[in-house]
Amino acid sequence: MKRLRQFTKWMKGQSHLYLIGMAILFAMQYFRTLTPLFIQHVVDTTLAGRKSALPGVITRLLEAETVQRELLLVGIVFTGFALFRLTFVFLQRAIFAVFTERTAYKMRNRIYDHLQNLSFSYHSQAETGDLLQRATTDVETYRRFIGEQLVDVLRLLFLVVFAIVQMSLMSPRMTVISLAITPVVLTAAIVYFIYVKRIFRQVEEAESRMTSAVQENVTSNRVVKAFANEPFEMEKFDATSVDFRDESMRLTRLMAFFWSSTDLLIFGQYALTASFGIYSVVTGTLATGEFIAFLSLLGMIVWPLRQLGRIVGDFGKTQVALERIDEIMDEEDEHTHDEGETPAISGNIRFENVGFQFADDTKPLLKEISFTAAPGETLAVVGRTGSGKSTLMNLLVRLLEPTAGHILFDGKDIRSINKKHLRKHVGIILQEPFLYSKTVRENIAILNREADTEHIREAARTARLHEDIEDFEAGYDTVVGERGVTLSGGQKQRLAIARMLLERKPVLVFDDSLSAVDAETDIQIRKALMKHWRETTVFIITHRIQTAMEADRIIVLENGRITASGPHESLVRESGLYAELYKQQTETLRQDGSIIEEGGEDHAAF
Amino acid sequence: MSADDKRILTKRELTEKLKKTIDPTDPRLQQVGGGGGRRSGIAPKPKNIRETVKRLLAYLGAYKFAIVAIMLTLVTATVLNLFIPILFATALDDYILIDFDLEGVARIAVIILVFAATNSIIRFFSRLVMVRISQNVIKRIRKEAFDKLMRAPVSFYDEKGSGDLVSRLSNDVELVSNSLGQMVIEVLNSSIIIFGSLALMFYLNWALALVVIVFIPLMALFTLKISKKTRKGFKEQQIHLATLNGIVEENISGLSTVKLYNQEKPFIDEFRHENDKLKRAGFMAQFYAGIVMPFVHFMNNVIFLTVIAVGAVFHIAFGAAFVSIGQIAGVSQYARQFIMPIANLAQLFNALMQGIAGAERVFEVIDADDEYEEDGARVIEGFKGDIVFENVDFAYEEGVQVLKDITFAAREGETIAIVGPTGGGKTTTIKLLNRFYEIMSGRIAIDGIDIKDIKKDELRKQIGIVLQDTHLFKGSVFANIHYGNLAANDEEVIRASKLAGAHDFIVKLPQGYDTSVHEGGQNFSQGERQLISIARTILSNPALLILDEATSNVDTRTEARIQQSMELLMEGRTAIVIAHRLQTIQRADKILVIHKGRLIEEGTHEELLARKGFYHNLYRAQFE
Repeated sequence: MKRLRQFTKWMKGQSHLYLIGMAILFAMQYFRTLTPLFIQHVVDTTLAGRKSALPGVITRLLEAETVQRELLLVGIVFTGFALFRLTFVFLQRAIFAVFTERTAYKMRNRIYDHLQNLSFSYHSQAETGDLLQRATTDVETYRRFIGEQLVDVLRLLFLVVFAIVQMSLMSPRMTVISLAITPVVLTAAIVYFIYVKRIFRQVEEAESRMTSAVQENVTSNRVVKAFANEPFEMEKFDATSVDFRDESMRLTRLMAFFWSSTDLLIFGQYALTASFGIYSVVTGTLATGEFIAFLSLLGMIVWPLRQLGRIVGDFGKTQVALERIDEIMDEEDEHTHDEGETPAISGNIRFENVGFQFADDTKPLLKEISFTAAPGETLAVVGRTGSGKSTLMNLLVRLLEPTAGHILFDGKDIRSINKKHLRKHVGIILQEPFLYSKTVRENIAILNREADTEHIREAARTARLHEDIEDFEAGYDTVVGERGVTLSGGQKQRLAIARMLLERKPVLVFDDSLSAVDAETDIQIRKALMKHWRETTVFIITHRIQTAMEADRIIVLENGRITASGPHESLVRESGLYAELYKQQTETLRQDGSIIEEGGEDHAAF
Repeated sequence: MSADDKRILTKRELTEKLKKTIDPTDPRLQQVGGGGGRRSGIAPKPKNIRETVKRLLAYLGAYKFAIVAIMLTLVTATVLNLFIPILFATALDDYILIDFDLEGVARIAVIILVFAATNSIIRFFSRLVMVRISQNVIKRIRKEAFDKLMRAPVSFYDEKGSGDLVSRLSNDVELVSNSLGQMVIEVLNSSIIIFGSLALMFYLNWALALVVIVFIPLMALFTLKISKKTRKGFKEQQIHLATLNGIVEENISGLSTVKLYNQEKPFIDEFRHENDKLKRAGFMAQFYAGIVMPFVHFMNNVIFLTVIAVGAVFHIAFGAAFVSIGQIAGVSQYARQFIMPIANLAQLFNALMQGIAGAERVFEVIDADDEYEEDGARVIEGFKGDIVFENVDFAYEEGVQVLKDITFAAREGETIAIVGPTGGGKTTTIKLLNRFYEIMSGRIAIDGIDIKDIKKDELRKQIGIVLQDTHLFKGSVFANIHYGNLAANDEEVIRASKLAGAHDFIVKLPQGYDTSVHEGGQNFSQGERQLISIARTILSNPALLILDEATSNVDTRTEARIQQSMELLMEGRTAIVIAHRLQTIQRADKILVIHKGRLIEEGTHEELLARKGFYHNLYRAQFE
């Protein structure tokens, strides 16, 4: 029952289409089994004057005075009959096509919507490739199943039922003989395809090992060449290639054996039916036309039986696919219980003994964090990698929820504020901003899609990005990302800043977001920004002391705790991490960052 | 290649390109429902069919006799199969309808059984042998392509792009493999059935055969029309599916951005829009694919019926001598066998063309230049490390000169710092030293020997490169370090990682040195990747070093450690460094300022400052 619901729940709203389609399919299979009976009618009734196997409604249409006329009538009626069938088959196909495409469409939409609304912590644990596979391949598996495989199975099932009915009406004894070997064929097919599935998987695995070997060698060919390890790679690849060939051969041997041996079985069935049929014709228990009809009906059902084996073998696949999809759908949507208030946010922020720990972690990432920040204030958060800096910022926008203490915005607990509302008012600029494979213009205008060209250009100018863009062949219409031009780390970061400039936010967080921009540009940008964001509460997460020291206050994070806080002047004098970092970084003469250029600029091709 | 060498495509061009590059017949695409990542790069029409087929045949040449034998037996099998309806007709006419002859019937039944069994057995073996042959041939083609890929110059990779090359070695080889094995057999089979049936129908009864012939063009026309529509539908479906997958992929990988910027709604709308298109295309594809078979059945029935009706009329009008019942039964059975092979042939022809197009693309890889072909001959045991660049000119593409007249020298053990604005040619300069690219004119020499005279792999083994963005291989951490010198033993590997300062973090990993590295090293931070790569370079013990020290995305402590390791690495070795840190620059024996492809200033930090030129300006802008 549960399985059935799992299977049918996606069809909601369309199931009437499916039922109509099935009804037509059912009726059509009956009509299909009538086809061979026309021959029987001609041979037995028209030419020999014996009983016709066609239903009375049709035989009445075929009555005429002379044999020639009757034959003509058979021709006309049969053609009409075939046309009638063709029309309905088209109709049935169209109905199923509408049904499956609509179902898949709705399914994809629902999964996609849901994926968007899953919590950040879910996404940070899930693998992108796996999610993608569930949202695409698994949906395809289901679509194929309901649109093709299930229909095929039912069609064959209906056909077998009607064929047996037609056969028994003519001769029950012949029916038993004609179906004697078919169950063996069916069983063989099912057993075989279940068994061969494993081999299929092995072949696929061997193939993917081979393809990833190619992929890796192509993407890292410079490393291979730099160490002159080509012969080693060739040998390695050859091993995977041999492996793939051998696995494929094994599969082929099995396939060839299966098709040939079932061919033999089916011929055996034909031989059995034919010899017994001839015997019956001679002894007079079977009419010649009936004999021909038997052979036709047998042919109709016996060949597709083997395909049935394949489909049954694949049944499990669909179930697994649906389970995998359900796993996503059962995850809670982060906005479900988030009605929340939408108060005005001015930028007064207060952390009270805030702690955070992932559910499956043994140690907390943050402990007893307390501080306040006011509009117009700039707060720097300094700490080593893994000290909890970024977690702190994720708490600020409820991508993660604190496991202890409170975060207050203008005195209101953050938990009572609507997530989307909150995120609208807190701008975070990430260290590695994500750019979409869209144009530069669209990427900048992502927060404000209605922004006009002048505003976009202005934002790019302020972020010192405009000139870079103008250098591209297609300017602002340059497509970014995998399929277009690759931006350097610094260009990406500046683009992220330009994005923020198109909207006014009471709270802003720079999450190491100018780390790949050279120091001079960094200063220029920051000066321009200060003008723009005078009333804003600004957080700067950084490991550059040079950047941190300009903040009004600095918070030093170590192992998830605040170990020191205060302005630069006082922190430098205390002994502690900050002073240590300061010493480390000034020893090499305010050197940090790059002297001449942005990091990572032209290594894309190396 | 620096960023500004790349041609930038507009969105429209990209869409065009995308449309062209999706291959609807790609079996993988159909199986997985369009993994957006893999696309082949050209339209599936082969350019030079004759040449390609000739070459494919040459590969098959080694199996000439086996193939001819298979062909002959297959023809025999199909012909035997074709005779079954005739035997059947004879049985009806001669032994059953006139007066019953059990012995005759039994004889014919046995013959039919023997024919059918022989047919099955022949098919079984010929299929096996043919697949074995094609698998071996494919394996050879694959090996040749991969080996050439390994020996092709770096510029070949630049030109083709990695996605394209991967697709050539996977999708295209697969296409060839399909055509070689199954297709040849199927084409042969279908043709024999068509012509054999025709001949036998005429043999049975020419009048009835003529009736059938009238229908053939009609059927062929309709089948081709519909299958064309189906193909188009599937192609569109694949394109939309790929686009849709692209959207999902992008959305999932950029999800924190989507959430932070409240972008859920617009992305959902965009998805809906694309999904809607997919729905429409999917409908067309499914519908047309669904009506091919019913249509074929319909046509079959019409022909069948016509044969019987006409046959019956003739039988009654002119008697059994003109048309017998057995002949009607026989011809009607042959007439049924017609449409499928015709439909098959249309399909096969397309697949065959695609196989040839695939082969063409694979052959292009096999025909790529071999950079070791014109290799220097000298093997040098250990460089001292004197490097000389003399009037070096270089261009990636003809006409777009990237480096002009670069001349400088580095003495044994010296550190040379290269500075200059982005895109000026710094990275290009260092890439020339290990002959990833060949210079246009001028000369590069190490220890007084022109690098063109040195064996490439020897040269490269002696030059160590550490870059900012390090590539690690799938496999264990140990294997990745070991890659630097495949002859090294375990102790040497560990010693190298200790020297690199990587040992400490490696032993803290859950499986220590056996911890697996995911593709591209994604499960390690950039700093860790770099430390591993330094260990790898230390293990390879190069005489010369090329370093790129930008470490912008690494925290201070790791950065200090990397710096330390790099300094250790540079000790006693000649090093060329693309420098970002003032410390390195100050300590360098010589600074080269490269701007717009030219070496514009050269000297020590103090000298260059005193000169008050380009370097001075850069320095001031940065630090004062």
